[in-house]
Amino acid sequence: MFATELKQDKAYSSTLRIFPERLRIKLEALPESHRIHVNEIRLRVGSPVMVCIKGEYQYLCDIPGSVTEPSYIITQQDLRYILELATGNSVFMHQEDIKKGFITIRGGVRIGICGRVVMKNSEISNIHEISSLNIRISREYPGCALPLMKYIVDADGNIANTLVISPPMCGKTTILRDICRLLSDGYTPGPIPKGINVGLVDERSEIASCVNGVPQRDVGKKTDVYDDCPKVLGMNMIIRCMSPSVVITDEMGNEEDEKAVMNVLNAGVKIITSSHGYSITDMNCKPGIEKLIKRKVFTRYIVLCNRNGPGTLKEVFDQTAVNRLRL
Amino acid sequence: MIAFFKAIGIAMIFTGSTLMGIVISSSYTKRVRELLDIKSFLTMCETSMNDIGMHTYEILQQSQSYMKTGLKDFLESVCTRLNSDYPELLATIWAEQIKVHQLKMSLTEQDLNVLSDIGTFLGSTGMENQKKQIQRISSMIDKHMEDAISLKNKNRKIALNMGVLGGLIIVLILL
Repeated sequence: MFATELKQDKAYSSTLRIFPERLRIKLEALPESHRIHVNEIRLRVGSPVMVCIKGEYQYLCDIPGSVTEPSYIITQQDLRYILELATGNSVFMHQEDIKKGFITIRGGVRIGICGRVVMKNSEISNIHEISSLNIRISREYPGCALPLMKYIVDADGNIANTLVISPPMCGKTTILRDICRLLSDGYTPGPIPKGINVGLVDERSEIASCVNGVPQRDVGKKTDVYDDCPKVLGMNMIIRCMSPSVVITDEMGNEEDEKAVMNVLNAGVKIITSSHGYSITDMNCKPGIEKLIKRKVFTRYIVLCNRNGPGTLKEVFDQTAVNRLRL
Repeated sequence: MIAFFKAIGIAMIFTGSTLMGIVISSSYTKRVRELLDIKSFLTMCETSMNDIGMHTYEILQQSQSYMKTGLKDFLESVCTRLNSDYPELLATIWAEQIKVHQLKMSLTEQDLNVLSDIGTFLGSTGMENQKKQIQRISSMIDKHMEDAISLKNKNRKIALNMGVLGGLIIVLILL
């Protein structure tokens, strides 16, 4: 579980701004004790509203204290409304993201989109007739990565090339954001109290959640961000342009990513990244990462799980990817 | 004394009738200007969406800053509503604001229908569709513009003259 707990929650209420009034009223009526733990709101046409609280999915009408009646179901108009408002009445600006199946909006909220896929020249050109939306509420937990820093930075201030492995919804991005902030601003007691230059390649605008190029999340004062930039291009650009001491990026996996990581390392820059997975063995199924493991590129593997809530540290491995470190 | 009031009455009738003529006559010019503003708004939409990558709100804000007709107030109100704490769909706001501002504009019912049409698609679809819709509306505006210009050329002077002449006739009858 994250080391820090939220006292109040603005992320949830600001996310509700994009909902139609009839739906917003019901979601606003959710007790505060539940609201601060909502990670996802799932909306499917013809189904009741579903929310994910502390990793557990529940229908809104089943939650004690909810004012939603079981007969309340989502319509396609509701989803269309949310998508239009989420894009700031500018769907055309997010067309490329919609093709990929998601959009990221102000505040780092990611909305997954499902519906009828329109193909053009063997490529997805649009998602039409939307059937479901998955609204993921992102939150900051400043200090949540502090217990992990002893595995990432040694006593002399040397940074380990680190891979954070985590299943979805276990706080991978939140941890990565906080690692970025701690390295950038420095932390005490610790070997780098003044911080170092960090290059952040934020492919899906989830880590820094930039709006008009300005990070909306605290990623540190010495962090340079390539927002909404393909990982491989961004990693190659940032080492040339901004000469960071460490590059941070999210969701690695394919062979192109492996080449980009090698470029970063050849430039003498450290890398901290993440990948989807439940254990270190899952990484062997990802061609890009498997090669990096064999080459012993990463010196730390941090595996997260959801056992005691998002951000639970499951295990830490050394560069062999076999030997567990004592937690 | 009676002659004095008579003279004032005559002057008021004549001025009122002439002013009415001027108002009717200028409405023809105003309509052409407003249609021109709609046309330039559409052009700005197309270029801003495509080349600059601006959001709908930014396009609306920038467009209204260049305008001088009743369309400026209309777009300004749309922007204010879009910027509220709980924003609504542009289509809803657009339709509402047309109702609020239609009397302040010189557009005909057909022109207002075209203006309403813009609100139904603006920002709600992908780039290609936006372009197609903008072109469709643009060509409709062109036709409305031709009509507005010919009406202006035909009726503007007539309306003005009718105002003056009407005033004179009433005055003569009363005398």
